[in-house]
Amino acid sequence: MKIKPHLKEQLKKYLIDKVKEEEQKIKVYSAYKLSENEVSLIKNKVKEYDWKNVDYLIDESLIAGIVIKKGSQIINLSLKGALVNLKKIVYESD
Amino acid sequence: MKVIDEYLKTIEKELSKSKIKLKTEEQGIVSEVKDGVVILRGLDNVSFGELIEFRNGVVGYVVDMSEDEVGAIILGNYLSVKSGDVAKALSITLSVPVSQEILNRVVDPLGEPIDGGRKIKVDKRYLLEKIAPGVVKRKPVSSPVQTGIKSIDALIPIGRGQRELIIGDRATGKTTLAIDTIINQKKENMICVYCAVGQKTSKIASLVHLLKTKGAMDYTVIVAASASDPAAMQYLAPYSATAIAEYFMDKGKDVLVIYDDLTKHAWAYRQISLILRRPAGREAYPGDVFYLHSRLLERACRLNEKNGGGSITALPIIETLEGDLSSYIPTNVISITDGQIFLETDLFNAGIRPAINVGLSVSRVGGNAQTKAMKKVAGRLKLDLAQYNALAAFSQFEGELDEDTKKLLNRGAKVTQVLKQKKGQPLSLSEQVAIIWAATNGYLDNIENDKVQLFEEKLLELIKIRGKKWSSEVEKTKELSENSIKELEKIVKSITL
Repeated sequence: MKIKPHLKEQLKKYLIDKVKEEEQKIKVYSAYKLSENEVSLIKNKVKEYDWKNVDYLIDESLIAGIVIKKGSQIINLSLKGALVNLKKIVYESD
Repeated sequence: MKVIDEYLKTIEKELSKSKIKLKTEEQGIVSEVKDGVVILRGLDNVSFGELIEFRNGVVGYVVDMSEDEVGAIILGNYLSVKSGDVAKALSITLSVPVSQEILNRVVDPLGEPIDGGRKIKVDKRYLLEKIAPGVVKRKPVSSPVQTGIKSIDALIPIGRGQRELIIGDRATGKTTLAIDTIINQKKENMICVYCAVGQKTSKIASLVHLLKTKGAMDYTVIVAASASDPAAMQYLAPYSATAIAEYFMDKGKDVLVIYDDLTKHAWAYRQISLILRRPAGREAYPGDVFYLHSRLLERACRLNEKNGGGSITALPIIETLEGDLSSYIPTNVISITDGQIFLETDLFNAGIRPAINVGLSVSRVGGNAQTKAMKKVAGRLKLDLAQYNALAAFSQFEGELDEDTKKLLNRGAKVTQVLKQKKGQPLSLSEQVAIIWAATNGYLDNIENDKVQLFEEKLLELIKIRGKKWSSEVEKTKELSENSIKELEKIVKSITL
């Protein structure tokens, strides 16, 4: 199917806008389903976000803790993230 | 087992110190991978020149930002980065680890040793991209760089803090000139940084070997990005070399940096720019190729005493094609630098080595830095050569010449012979002064052209045997007093061929 270049441009723009909109949503990943208590605790701790539009997702590979994502920003408070960091700072010295 | 327990304890201790912090990180996703360059989505708040890290530990360097994409060059193995990978902004800019230990080493543009030696201890980290010192921090160039090459030290003197371009076709001895200069810095209290961009690895290896055998590696650092390294590394190498030089300069040292060569550096940058789809200009170079070199060479400077008094002397090398000085990169770099040494194929093939075209070569600030002893003898030398060059062209057509003209031609021919020098044999100030003095005062006029070299050898030998006191005096005072002229005359007159 052949489409006009300006249409293609606009479609691309529309897609990017859509993706951006989607990304503005806050996503909270955790290893297990969070309880009401835990959710309110997180909301209290991380005050720079407005917690209106939130998705709670489960990612078992995190092992423990949570990861909060908003747009390109990410707050990593998971055990997996801590282990990755540890791997980086432990090195052989001679 | 005891050892492991101990290790675990230390790790535990280290970890108990750190507390969990709420740290916001920037993240992006690789959308395109090209030759050494990646395009990423996300990373909305990343800044220009920031480092980003991919999942497998490979680091990238942000060089391009558009409306909704970020372009970065990959430092290291770019084959392991795949589309869809997550990248994290590190919120630091690119720097190179430096310390005194880096001397006598061969490193890559990120400061990692590539000579198979042990890890270099880090003293400080120096930023690759740094704004050059401003006007208030600088001082005029006042002391010379002794290159050890007669024709340069006498006719195109280079000062500490100057930028002197070495330009010429392939195989005209550009690198040789630079390496001879490094070798001659042994007793000159200079640190040398040799930056190899896009060169054959074999050439770099033989160069290291040469410097080692001459004992020149002790004060030299080699920053190498060879032809097989990614364009990103070749692009960064000169900045990295300058950062290392700045470390020593800030310690109050005089540093000599050689960029070999900036043509290949411009090629690497052109490659990166074309992959990033930047608009191509003349010869397909991007619009900022002038700034690419000017911001690099501006970092060469002489600092005033208040700022430590160190200096960076830059000797960039440019390779021309068929002696064409008017193509894009050569004209750019000629206009940035404080003079150029022009090497010619014709002279090289005629056996005049170093093949410096004295007429086209200039040094715009080095004259102030020349030692008094050299000034005294070089003035006459310049005059002799200029007269010779003016006459030599038209004397071919003239059948009969008067005595004066013949004399001038003869003198010019001898002086040209004297300026020849074999590679790897730099001369000290006193040795240079001695031979140039002998030539300009007519002691060579009655010697045949092919015996000039023999005369020079004998003179240098005699100075070593009988003129030790004389040469050490000249080296110390850097002057040629009446008494020392008389002594020199005695030595020169005693030479028999």
